[in-house]
Amino acid sequence: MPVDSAGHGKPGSAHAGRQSSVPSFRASARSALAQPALLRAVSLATSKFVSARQQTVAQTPGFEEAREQAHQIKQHVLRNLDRYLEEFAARVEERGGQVHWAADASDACAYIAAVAAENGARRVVKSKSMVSEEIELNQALESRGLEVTETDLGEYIIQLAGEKPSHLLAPALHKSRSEVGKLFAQELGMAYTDNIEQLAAAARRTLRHKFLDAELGVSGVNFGIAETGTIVILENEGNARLTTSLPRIHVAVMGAEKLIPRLQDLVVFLKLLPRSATGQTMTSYVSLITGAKTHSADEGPEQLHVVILDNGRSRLLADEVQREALFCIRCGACLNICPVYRSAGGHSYGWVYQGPIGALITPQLSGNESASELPFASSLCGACLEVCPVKINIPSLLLDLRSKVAVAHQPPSSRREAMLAAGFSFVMRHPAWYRLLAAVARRLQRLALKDGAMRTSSVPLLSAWTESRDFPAMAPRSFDQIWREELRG
Amino acid sequence: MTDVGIHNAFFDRIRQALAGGGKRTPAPPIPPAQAHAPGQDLGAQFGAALEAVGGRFVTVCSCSELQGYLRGLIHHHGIRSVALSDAPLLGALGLPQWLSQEVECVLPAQSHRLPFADFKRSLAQVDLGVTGCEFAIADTGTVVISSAERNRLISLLPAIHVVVFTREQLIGELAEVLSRLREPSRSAVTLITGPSRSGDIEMTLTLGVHGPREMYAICVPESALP
Amino acid sequence: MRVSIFVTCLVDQFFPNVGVSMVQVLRSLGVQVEVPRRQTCCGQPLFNTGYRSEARTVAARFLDVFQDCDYIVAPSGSCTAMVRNYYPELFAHDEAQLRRVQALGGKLYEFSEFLVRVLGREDVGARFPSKVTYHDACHLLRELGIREEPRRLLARVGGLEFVESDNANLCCGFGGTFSVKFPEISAHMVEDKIAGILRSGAEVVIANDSSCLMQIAGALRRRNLPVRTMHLAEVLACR
Repeated sequence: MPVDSAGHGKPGSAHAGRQSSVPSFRASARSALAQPALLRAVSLATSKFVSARQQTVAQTPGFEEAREQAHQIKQHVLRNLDRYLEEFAARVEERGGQVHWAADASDACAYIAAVAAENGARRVVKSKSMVSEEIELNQALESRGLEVTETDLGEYIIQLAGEKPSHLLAPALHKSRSEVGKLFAQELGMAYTDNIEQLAAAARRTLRHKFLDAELGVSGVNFGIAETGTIVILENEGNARLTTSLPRIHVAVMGAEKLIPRLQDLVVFLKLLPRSATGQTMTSYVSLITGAKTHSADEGPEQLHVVILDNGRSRLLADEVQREALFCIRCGACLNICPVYRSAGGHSYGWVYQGPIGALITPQLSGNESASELPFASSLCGACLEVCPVKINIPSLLLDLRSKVAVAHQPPSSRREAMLAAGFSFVMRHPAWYRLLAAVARRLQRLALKDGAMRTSSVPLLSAWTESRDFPAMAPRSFDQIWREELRG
Repeated sequence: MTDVGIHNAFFDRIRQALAGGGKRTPAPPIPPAQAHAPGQDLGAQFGAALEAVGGRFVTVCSCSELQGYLRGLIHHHGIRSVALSDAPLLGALGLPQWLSQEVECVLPAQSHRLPFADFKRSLAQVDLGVTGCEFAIADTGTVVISSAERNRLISLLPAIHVVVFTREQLIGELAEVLSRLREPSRSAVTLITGPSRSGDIEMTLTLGVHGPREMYAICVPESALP
Repeated sequence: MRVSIFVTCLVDQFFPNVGVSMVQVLRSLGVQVEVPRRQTCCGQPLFNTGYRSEARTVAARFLDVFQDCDYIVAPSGSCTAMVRNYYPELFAHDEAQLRRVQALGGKLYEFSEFLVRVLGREDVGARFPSKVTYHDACHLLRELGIREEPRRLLARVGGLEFVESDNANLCCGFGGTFSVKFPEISAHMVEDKIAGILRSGAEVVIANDSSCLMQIAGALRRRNLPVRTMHLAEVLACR
């Protein structure tokens, strides 16, 4: 449950009904760990991304400088977000686009549904957009009778399967080719094949019709350029280009934090994002879209709507420590390197944002009660900070969130744990107590030891350890004793 | 709430979030563009970068060599229909007339008269799209096309895309290109680097999922123009 | 030269031989060793579980205990990182304490860091004929930037055959209370770690952090695997 700096809980989403039904991270991770095929798929995908990224970065001079530059730019933009949003919107509108300021998910969905209704649009195509999943746009439009088709191949597969994405960049990584083959045979009425080329060709054929028939295209935005009112979209498949050029109406949904100040700033972000995400030096396509077309005979949509979303971001912005989480450019590098993500898989995070960045923003934006444990689901190894292209200090921000959760006694912290912490602090400030308790524990442990180690335990936290590992015995004499009795000299 | 009301509520939240922060400082300076060594072969650099991502690059010395190469492509792929963008270079090279003798169907003459809705459906049936570009970026093997030449869809719908440019259009890196792209007339600029690709099924690379499966870049010298 | 040992509560109670080894090695290099008796803990477990004000009181006491030392050496990357990198955050709003933290941070070293960077020694006269690999503890590696020093020390140990593991910098999965709050994930992570150790063919895995060693040893033992764990200090004390 998101907590502001004063420790007050706040629901972050309009969809209050599902808050308490999201299973805990630990429970979801446990079930993921019991699926070897899933673990293998996650491991394969993440290790490919990691080594591709490593190789490309090693061959990129100036990469570290670019990271620092990007960090500085994002820090500056967010510090001045009101001015840059005004500038961006003014430029978009000068070029014939329309800007809608969406306070939250339901507001954004209502606006987009209204645009569709006003224009008689019933068929919608969508390119990959995390924000549109965050606001649950598909459900909102489908409940109003519109047909919505995801066009990114991975998103299309999971849409057909009725599942949720398991990875930011590879949403269908948990599905084998034979599973995709069966899915396509069932949903598209084609003969079964597990040949990947043929499956991709089938998707291309089917989706072509959708692209040509759709009246409305919805896309995300990787970067919004304030200086020119340009929205920038990176992709490899071409479905975003089709989504944003074939239908009559283009709706671009953008998180308010996605701005960069000037067109020239795009250089540093284009240097960082493809390399950090997939190890490419450049994605196949980068679209820079500024406004709507000026003549009807021209190519492209007649209307451009840019929906700028708050949905709790202003709350993150207000927290000077957590504001850094808004620097994120959604590259996925932190997911790929995170050993916790590799074990638990994407579905365990319970929301659209996964991995280390997901652990940071889900508790603060999603409204899920169980999310308060996410900041603790990390060993703080720091690998994510090493690879983050905008140098978000994820471990430090996780620690900050932990202190907020502890102060509010939310799970996994509790009043009981707070009392234990107070006790630990007392003991550690009084050496005589420290030594006394150690001596007592040393004696008691003999009951639990077997061959010099603890193999099972019924003591709550110890039993969690001994399930899978032996726990060492306390030494017969502490170092302090040995020092006094022998070494001091 | 009125539009103004919505706007104000949105900005109130943002301004409140930023209140009490420190002094506002100017944007970080933009790093200077890299100078390029004069002898650098931008064409070779472009070709290497493009071929590394599955595109093909060829340099031709004359109009007839260009035609020979295109004829080869047409036969190899069994191309029966072509669409051409409005790029002046294509006209200057005599491609519209030449192509109409080589293949059954060429689109450009009709495209201006067709309503957009019909144009896009005809284009979806075309085998080959030929466009020019504004710039070719040697650093990454990227071509920069702008909507000014009605090439947005021609470079996207057909399964094969051929882009033609002159040596003089080769630029070292993106930073240089962006500084020239500030004019307001372009509603869409697209950076294209190789064919369409996806790794979404079992992390296995497939080409041509939505955009072109094959992409060819042909460099012609200015001297090839009549 | 006088050096004070910050032994850390884990080594004090569970792995005192690590502390004994440190003392032996330092003395063999001509260093006078002291152990401030009132020391207990740096407060990291409290800080990591979110109890900052409790961590602050423990940290304040740490500053008192060690303030008059010339050099402080610890057998743990995570405890050293806690004091050097996170005490400034804990005392960010207390100028006087912040000054003390910065002064103390400048005198505190992790053991391998101290030997190589302060004493300028890589060969400490150790002998340990075994095939070994090394585990980069996360805080040591990423918070303190210490990667080469342990390897250089191991390279000079007589009879030692060093083999680099292909996942040396992969987290072992300990992460403090993470190991018991998310035990299934922690166990899965250490399995990955061990797989890399086994691939290396080493007989012994060495690290500079007893918490990592406890995690790795616990899993090795449960699986009855013959690979042993040792702290770098223990190896360097071998003759």
